Amino acid sequence: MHIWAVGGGKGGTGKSLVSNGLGTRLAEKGQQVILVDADYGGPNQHTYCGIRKPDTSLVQFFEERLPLEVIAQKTAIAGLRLIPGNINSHNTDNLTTTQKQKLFRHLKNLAADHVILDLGAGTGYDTLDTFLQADVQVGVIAPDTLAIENFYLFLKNLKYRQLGNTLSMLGLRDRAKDIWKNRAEHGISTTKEFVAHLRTIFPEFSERFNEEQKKLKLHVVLNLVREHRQAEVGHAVKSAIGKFFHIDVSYAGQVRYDKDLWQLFGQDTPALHRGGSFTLRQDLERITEGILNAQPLERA
Amino acid sequence: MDEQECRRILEVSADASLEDITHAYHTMKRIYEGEHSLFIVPSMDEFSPEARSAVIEEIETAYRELCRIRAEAKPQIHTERLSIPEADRPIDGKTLRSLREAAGVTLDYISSQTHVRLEYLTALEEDRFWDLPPAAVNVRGFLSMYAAEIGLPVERIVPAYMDRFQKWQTRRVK
Repeated sequence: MHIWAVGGGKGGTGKSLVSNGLGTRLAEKGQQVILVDADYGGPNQHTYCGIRKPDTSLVQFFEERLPLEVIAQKTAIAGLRLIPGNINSHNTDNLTTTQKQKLFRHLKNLAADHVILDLGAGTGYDTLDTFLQADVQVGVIAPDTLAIENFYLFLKNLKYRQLGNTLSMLGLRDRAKDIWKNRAEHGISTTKEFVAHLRTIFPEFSERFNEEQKKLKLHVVLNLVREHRQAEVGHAVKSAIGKFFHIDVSYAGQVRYDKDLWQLFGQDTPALHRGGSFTLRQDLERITEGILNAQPLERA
Repeated sequence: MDEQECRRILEVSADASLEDITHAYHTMKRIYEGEHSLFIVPSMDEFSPEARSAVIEEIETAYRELCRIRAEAKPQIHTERLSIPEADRPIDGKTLRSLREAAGVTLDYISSQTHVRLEYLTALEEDRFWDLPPAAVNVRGFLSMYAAEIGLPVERIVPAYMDRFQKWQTRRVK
């Protein structure tokens, strides 16, 4: 089973749309897919799926310990099930890290080919950790500086988190903190120098950190493309991520803006069902294939 | 910097032509040199002026290196197969043609790459000097491009052929 995470820092870039499109496409290819609305603060994956009032949601998992297998409900698309987010809860976005980790553990045991997590906006530790633990990592951006800026920040935080996590795993966190605090003494001024210093004094860290860094394989999706000249943004951002952030990255493709998408919601059919938006379906199909081509997944 | 590294930097595949490479290079220059580029976020340390000039420098080096590698590789493909006549022997159109055919290059292709008219290229190969432009300088230019396109040693081919052309011209004037 493969866990997919869809994230990207800024809100409103289309993470939910892309997650839904990936899920729909994979299910149409005959795979068993479970979509998880992990956007705790802004769940709307049920609306994309055409479910007006979900019977169950993550609330039952967190509060009543209902198994995820039971919560996952069928959608109008064969093979695609949904675990809706916390909708009827007085406490949607204040879950503890322990709770979120428990969710991730349970997700791994679901009976499906693919589990797709629609992550919320922001760069909180839990979001970053979930993204880093996923097998397929998808970042969604829009062709404007606001989205790109926030996406870079998201990536930067992912890298810092990887560093922090590696140090914690090896029990070196406190010692590293001391070094950073007294960085002037060690002749360190940048993060790059800090990492280089850590590598020389802790060989075990160096090795482990390399392994952790290999786990970040990013797929970039450019959403909200309204005009032809915006298409270049996707390639350029992909290139810049490789050159300035040194992250293994591939460009999955673009999704054209559909001015009629809003009319597809609030009905009993999924927004991306056959007969719905043709361009969105076409683009999201191509993106799914693009990701699968760049990172072939063995069938579990 | 080896070829693979250069290709990684310019983000081109192994089968990219020199044209693809040049295109990739110009695209990158536009992306990374533009002061108001969308993709560059000056507020972040990652995009410091030093980091940016290092990236541009890397792109420049990769392009220069890749052009050099390609230019070197091109004639080498043929030098073993083609038997270029000895230095003291004159070269005629027939020899040119056999060298070109041995290299597997068509006249149409040479014409499309060099923008020299097909009629002139044919005239060169058939020794029809009277169908060539009257000025030797033009003929020499066409011939140089022709030879370079096939991957022949220009400095060896051109004087040997031009020698015959100029002799013909002197004869005609008399």
